[in-house]
Amino acid sequence: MSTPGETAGETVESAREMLPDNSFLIQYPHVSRVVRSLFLTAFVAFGIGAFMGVLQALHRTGIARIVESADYYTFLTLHGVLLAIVFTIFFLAGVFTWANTRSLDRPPVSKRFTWFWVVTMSAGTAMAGIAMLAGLLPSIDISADVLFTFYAPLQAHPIFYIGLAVFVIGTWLAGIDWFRQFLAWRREHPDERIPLQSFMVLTTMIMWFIATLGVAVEVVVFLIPWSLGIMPAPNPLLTRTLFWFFGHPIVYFWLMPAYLLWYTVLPKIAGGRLFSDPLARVVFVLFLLLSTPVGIHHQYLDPGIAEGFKFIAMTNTMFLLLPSLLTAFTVVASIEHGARQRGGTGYFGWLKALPWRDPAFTGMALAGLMFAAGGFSGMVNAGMNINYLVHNTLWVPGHFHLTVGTAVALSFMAGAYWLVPRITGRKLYSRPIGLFQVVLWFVGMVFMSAAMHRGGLAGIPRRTAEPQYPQVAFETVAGSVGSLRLQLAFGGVLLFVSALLFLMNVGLTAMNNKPARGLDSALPPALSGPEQSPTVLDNLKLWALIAVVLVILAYSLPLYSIVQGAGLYPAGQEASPAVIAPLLEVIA
Amino acid sequence: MSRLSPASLLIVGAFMVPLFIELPVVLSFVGVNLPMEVSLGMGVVAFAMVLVWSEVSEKPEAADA
Amino acid sequence: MTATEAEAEADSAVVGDDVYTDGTLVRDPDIEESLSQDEYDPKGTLALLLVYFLILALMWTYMYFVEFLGNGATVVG
Repeated sequence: MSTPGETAGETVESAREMLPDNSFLIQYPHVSRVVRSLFLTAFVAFGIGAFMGVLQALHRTGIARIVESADYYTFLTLHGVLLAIVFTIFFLAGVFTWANTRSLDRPPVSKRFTWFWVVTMSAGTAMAGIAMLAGLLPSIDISADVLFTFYAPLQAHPIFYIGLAVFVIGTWLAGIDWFRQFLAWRREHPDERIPLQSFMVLTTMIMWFIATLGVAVEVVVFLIPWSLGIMPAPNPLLTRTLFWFFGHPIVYFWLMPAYLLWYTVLPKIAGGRLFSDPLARVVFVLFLLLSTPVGIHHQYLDPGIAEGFKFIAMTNTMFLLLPSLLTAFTVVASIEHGARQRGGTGYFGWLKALPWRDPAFTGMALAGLMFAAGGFSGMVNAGMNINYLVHNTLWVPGHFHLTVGTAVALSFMAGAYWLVPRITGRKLYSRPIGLFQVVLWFVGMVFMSAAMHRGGLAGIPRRTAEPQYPQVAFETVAGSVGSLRLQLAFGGVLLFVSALLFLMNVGLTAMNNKPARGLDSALPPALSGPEQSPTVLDNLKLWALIAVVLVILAYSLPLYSIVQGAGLYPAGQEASPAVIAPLLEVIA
Repeated sequence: MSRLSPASLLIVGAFMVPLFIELPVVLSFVGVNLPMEVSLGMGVVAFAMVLVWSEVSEKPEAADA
Repeated sequence: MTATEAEAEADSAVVGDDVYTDGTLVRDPDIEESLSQDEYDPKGTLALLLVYFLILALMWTYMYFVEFLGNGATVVG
């Protein structure tokens, strides 16, 4: 894997010596290299995944069907896995490596160990990627058209599941690396509060360790032996439940690095200071506690899980709104502080004093705005009664394109505009293109997501290559189905153009021979510092223990009743081999 | 001299998109049937008016030029 | 002073305090007033969040029409 910084021209090399001593690249050249290589993988996956996305937007609306409808599901799987797993997690691994090193002010303990987890994650990604891409070649008997939600009875080639397992192990090793880094710091600073960014990294990783137990059991115990033909088909409901045990907290695994950027980087860009360090810590503790015991809210329509268990999951989910609303307050108050320091006045007039020309600021601000809208559609998804209206409709992709597709992805792109110059020492290629790109993403997503939400309310299904049925007329609230399709496709094209502009801008930055300036890596201290919060907030063992107890309370009885109901391997379960022919029969 | 910079126009235009996309839905709840195409067309006209205003209006302080 | 800093200052002298280098604003710290925790009252945040809650409340009332009047019974159990 080549790293952009290795091809540095003389201009940058000589300028690098003139960078301030406290710039991240000068202090930690090796860590910068690790972050660059993680970002490179993330952006390659982003490019391929975005291309799959625009193909789907054009295909399902009937505007342009470039691929066979049977191949739609291969593209859908690639889109979901490459964007929701590879792009997000490689990028957040880069952000976490940067943030943990910066805030603890020390590099990871072992260079070799750091590269070991980078290689492990990359190898797992390559294996899963090969399995998915091979589905496009009928001559190769490998496919993994199981969508991002990889549970039985849809079956993928074993190499897909093994790749996923290797990838998850890589993320565990990464978490161990960040914990070792923290413990080394703790030995030298026994009585200090954990620096905020490191605190965010560690709480997120504890949440991830707990959450991935579900997918590890699903993949290693059931799916791999089944796909190898050693064991019979597992109970689909059990694999679904284990998947969603991991499938909801992964949502917060995407979101918490975006929150890290919003809490620590955004106030600096806005010219202000974080409003409250204790509130930020409370938010991350709440996510650690509540992210996992809610997964059953994805299964409101699954028969075989009692309504009472679903009700508990719904209650926990509603509690999860609390940390996001706390975030809305803290982050907005922090950027308002910046605006007031820059001379902003009035109840709304301060908004004009914000640095809207800066793509890093505007991208994150628009991402936060869309997240506020996604919060509403999320409440609809989470409510048991109204979920029935939108379950498995286009509403759901409409919702998560606001959350992971914008709140997370747009924050990552905006964060990249700020972070890439800091890890390469190169000047951002074009700030105006960057600004245009983040605004284009916002506009494209408004078109696409609004059309998806409305289509979902009208009953248009998700995950369907050709959702056009002569015998059914979808009734929309406003506008015709035809105009919704056009909006969806138009938005998808805008998003793809925006993604290309982003990749071009970042790629040219990586090759830019002009040195970056003003790379001070210090972040301003919070207005209300950690000394104003109780030290129990930093007791990670306690919060991890409570999180485990909550998971046991929420999941032990449902899992017990699922296994009691149909057993681990119910008789008569057939695999649905993910090959092209049966899908063609269904469509024909 | 334009009142709004290209960047400001971009941001203002971006915030108008969701308003005019949601307008027909909001109106449908009060019984008004506004076609989506008309709403988006109104958005384009409104943005054109912002453009014209930005070109012809006077700056509050001449020093800003 | 290093050459880089000199360059940055020259740039800011030409374009004003609104210069961006790497996506970050380079500002003259003297122009800014520093606002401490006691002096800062986030009333703009309050105003924005009240607007958001108003929108949420309106959308919830619309949910009544969407759920109970827009479709038939959706009870599953």
